[in-house]
Amino acid sequence: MSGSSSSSPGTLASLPLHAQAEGIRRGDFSAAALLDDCLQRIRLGAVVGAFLHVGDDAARATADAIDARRAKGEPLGPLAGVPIALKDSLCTVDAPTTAGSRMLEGYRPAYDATVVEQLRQAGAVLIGKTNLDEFGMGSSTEHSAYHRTLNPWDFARVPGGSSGGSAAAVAARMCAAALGSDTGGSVRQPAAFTGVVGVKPTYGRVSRYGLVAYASSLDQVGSLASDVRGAARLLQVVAGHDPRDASTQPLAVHDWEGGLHEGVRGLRVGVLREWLDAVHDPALAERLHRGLDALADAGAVLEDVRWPEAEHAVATYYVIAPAEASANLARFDGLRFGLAGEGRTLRERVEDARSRGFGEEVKRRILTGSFVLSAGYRDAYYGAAQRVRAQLRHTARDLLARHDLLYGPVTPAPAFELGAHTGDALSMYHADLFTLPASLAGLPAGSVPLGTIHGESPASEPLGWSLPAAAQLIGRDWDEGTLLRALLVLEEAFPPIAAPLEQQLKLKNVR
Amino acid sequence: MRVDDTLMCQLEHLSALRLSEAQRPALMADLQRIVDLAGSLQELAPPPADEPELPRDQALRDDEPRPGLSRDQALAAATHHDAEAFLVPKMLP
Repeated sequence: MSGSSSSSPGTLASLPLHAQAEGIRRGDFSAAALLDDCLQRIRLGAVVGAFLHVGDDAARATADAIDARRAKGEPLGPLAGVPIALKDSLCTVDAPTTAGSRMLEGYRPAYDATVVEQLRQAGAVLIGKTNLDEFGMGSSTEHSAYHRTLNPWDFARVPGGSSGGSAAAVAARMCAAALGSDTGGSVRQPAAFTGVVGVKPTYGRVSRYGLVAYASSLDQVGSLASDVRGAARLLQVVAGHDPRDASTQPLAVHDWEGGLHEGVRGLRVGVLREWLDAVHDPALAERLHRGLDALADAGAVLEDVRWPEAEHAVATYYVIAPAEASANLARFDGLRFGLAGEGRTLRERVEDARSRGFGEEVKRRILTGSFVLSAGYRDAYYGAAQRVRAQLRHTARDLLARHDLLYGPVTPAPAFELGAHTGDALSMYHADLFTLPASLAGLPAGSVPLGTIHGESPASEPLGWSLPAAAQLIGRDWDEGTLLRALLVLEEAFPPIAAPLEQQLKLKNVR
Repeated sequence: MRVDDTLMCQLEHLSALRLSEAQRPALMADLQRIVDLAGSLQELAPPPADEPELPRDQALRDDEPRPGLSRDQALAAATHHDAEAFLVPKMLP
């Protein structure tokens, strides 16, 4: 077996997931060598702040075990030896789980999340826990209690959120794939901002057992990867019924990876024209239209559609999600879970723990949730939001009875600058406009890069780097297969992209 | 709906949170904007149905005891414990 010494640093880490797995299986390189290469990338890009915890020793033990199994000729799982990063809201017995909050600082769960068990069974090397907005509440990874994460494409910009650490790690090729969670867009939006693929499955497709809960009617675990094939394989490994999560359905998980090349010929794609018209950035809008051309060239039948209730998704989501968050986060009282509080009475201790343990965005959402659920206001706010949500879901299913997929943007503009929205919570909320509808409807949806924009322009700022553009596809309930194969058509229509980490590091040194 | 000091104090109590004087004005202003935004739904929402929409089917398992954490595993996750039990602050005089 060759080691990392036979290839230049980052070569193995930059391979897509399937190539890493096949390389190990064939003996082209060892799992240990691949892990070393990924750890080297993590150290090189430490300033990005993608990780909260790097699982050096545990990861090495797994990699060595995979190499030993291969040497003995034992069967290997679909992710054998492949380093995978985990959003730090997924419980792991061998690493701290903080959910990006001071409330859980030092917490080490007594059990693995189901998806973590599934990854271990598939042979994955769990390389570390990635940064996130506290409890998944945010769209920029600036609301982590520990540090913010930078976008590897431009250190002056956010990587999106809340799975910003997972997206940045994949974009910087510290690993080929990572798990995140998507409540209102937290996989798709950071994937779009960092030029990677992000897929949120149908609600109920993947177990949330061991995922620190934010909003239980919306939370889904999703995959991020450097290519569609990697996202498909990772999702396939973690999908399926789990008796410990009653929302998961006992449905067959098909071979999504094997069906990726079936194309989109004859598929009916509903184009969310109003969403495309609302994109602020002209270069992104132009790229989204080229994405449509790519689908049409591949044989898809395009038709403009309207989803009127989607316009109210922000208001609907920011009632329902905080309501559920206020209930879910009640367990963090410093006694059952979380930072120990001080005080003379039980009430004082609980208030002290929560006031010191939660950050400002979490407090904002808990207060909002308490308001919309309180006596006298519940029907007017929470009840109304639930009814709008039901209508939104109904329209989506009507649209998807006539179309196989819906097409639109992920975000109205490329990655925004650090601090651009931190003083204005609502402007941050409105940036989720295009990801919230699929979450509220429980539909599978994915983000895929459409190349880069801005950087090619001679008029770009001297320090302005190119930024990724992305499109979103939304699929029918339980039909992740069609979604993934259409994402592949879009991926193949544009040149592959990779974040210029080394250039950004040089630029930072110059600064 | 106006978010005033009285409502804010009630929400802090319901949420088991104590806001600092420095935090309260900004959070109040944000909450007012969120409440205004949420209020827009009241005109849009269809009237309540006679039968509320049920959540998706849930695949419930049989209600049977299953192996759980061992005592040692559970105690290892506690901030304070002795050999047998979690230790929590004394609350009754």
